[in-house]
Amino acid sequence: MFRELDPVLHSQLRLAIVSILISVQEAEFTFLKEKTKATSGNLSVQLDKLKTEGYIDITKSFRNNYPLTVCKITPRGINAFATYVEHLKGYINPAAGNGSV
Amino acid sequence: MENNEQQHLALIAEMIHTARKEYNDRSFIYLTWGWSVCIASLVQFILIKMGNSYNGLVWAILMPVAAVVQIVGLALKKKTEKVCTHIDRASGYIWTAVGISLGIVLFFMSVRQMNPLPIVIILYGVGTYISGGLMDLTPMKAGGASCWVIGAAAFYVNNEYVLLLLALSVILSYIIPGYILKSRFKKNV
Repeated sequence: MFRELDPVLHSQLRLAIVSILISVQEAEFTFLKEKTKATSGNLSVQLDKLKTEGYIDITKSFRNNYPLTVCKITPRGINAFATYVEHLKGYINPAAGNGSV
Repeated sequence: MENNEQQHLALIAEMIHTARKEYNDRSFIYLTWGWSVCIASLVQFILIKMGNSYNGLVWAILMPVAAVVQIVGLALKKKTEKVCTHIDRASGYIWTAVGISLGIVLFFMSVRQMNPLPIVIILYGVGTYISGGLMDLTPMKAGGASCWVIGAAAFYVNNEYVLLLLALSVILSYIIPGYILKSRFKKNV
């Protein structure tokens, strides 16, 4: 049986952002932009969406008079990502997705 | 549909793989402390052999200089870094623990008039072996492991010759791996 995939994470860019943030302590906007190869506008929109869902925390400040945006995954985001990967595995290997490994 | 899901899994793997390999260049810290300790030990050894009674003064000069270079250098680096990885965080904790341990060993063993240097060499081994493992830098792991052998040998050597072993330990665990780490980052830029 296929379990529903989290629509928030079932977008290439949002999934890429969360995958990066799960691997690091925290990352700046420019780092995420560089790794995902997204445009600034699109990245901003997707980060806001993830923040609204409570999957990431965004801290805005200034460094050398330039805006500085730092992103960090939340425990809720970690759980959502783990569940998403588990459900995703079910599509590729249905036995794994049903809890039997 | 399945193809799309496979693409998503591949994307996750790719992003995690990319980010996991990231950590910030801290080679200047290894080189600063490596060279400072190496020069201080060799100079003190020469001064002892020359019969100079102020032979310990070189440490009082070089160690604060190294500390200032590290603090200022780190503050400047952090201004340009875009990411803080789990490796960076773990390294910070490890070196804080090693630094505090070094301080305790140096202070109390000196007060009790014991030679702290064999323990200092062993602690260098702990810090560099773990850091080398985290960064997947085999020369640093090997340098760290060599510190344990050198530290053990230092218990059987006369006090002034322990200074030579200390210099050897930092060459193997700080200076050589520090330059390798530096060149690794230069290649990636």
